[in-house]
Amino acid sequence: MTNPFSLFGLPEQFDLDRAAIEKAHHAIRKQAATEKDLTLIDEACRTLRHPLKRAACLCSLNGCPLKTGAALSQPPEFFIEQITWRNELDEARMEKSLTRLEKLDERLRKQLSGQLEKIRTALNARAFAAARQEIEKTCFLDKFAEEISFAFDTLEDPGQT
Amino acid sequence: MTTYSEKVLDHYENPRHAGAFEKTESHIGTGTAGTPDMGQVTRIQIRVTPQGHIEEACFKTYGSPPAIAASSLAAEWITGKTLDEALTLTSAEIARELSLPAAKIHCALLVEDAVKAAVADYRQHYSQENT
Repeated sequence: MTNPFSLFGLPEQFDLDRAAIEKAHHAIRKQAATEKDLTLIDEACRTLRHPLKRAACLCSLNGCPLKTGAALSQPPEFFIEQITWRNELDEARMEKSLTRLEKLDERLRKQLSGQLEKIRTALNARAFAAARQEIEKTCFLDKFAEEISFAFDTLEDPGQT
Repeated sequence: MTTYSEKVLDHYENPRHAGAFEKTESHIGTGTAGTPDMGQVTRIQIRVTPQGHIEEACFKTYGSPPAIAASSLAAEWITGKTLDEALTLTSAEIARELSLPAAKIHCALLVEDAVKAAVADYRQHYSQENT
């Protein structure tokens, strides 16, 4: 795996200045010799821009890669909560209730922001295994955010369904 | 576009044992599992007789058609089995029965983990009654 941090000449840490990422992206793109180089650079940039991908990359570089394509052990309460939220999303969809959807979205955003804070704290303490556990949890929230966003699209524009 | 086997489509379109037991019911074991990169979550529940047989199993799964089909198949298979027999259910068997492609094996793993967790949960709560 290419190390996006070293490719962009940035420190291997979670907190990065977005402007510095964009500046490095611009500069390094100019040096690209082939189309393949450009693809690699753009992919690295997407990893650095996205907090969850950036965090997962840091874990991977430090010997704690995410277990992709595998079932995952988390506390049962966590999965029960995920199922409850998805139930609520189904109900909001059936009721075509924008208000319920907005409330669900608000709760999700709060939880997402809390999770990112936990990830930041763990990574700053170089506790990569703990960070990975939080990242894996956050992946479920991230996917759920996509589903909510899709539900907003279909509720606001029923023609799409 | 991914094409699924007829068995996957059958279980997906006509899921067996979908749902949940009432919260007030006793002798229930609940197991959960998830796949983070796909954002899939599943819950499998078993209701067990005093003799240690799974009288009924049910599931709730949010995920792709293979994940739902694997849950449905597993719930069907473990109904009527003993707890020990339910533990012998493997993801390989589920994958084979549903002809899952390699890229979808995680759906079977997800369900195997949830079944094992349901049995463990039941035993944790009712171990003194039937082990």
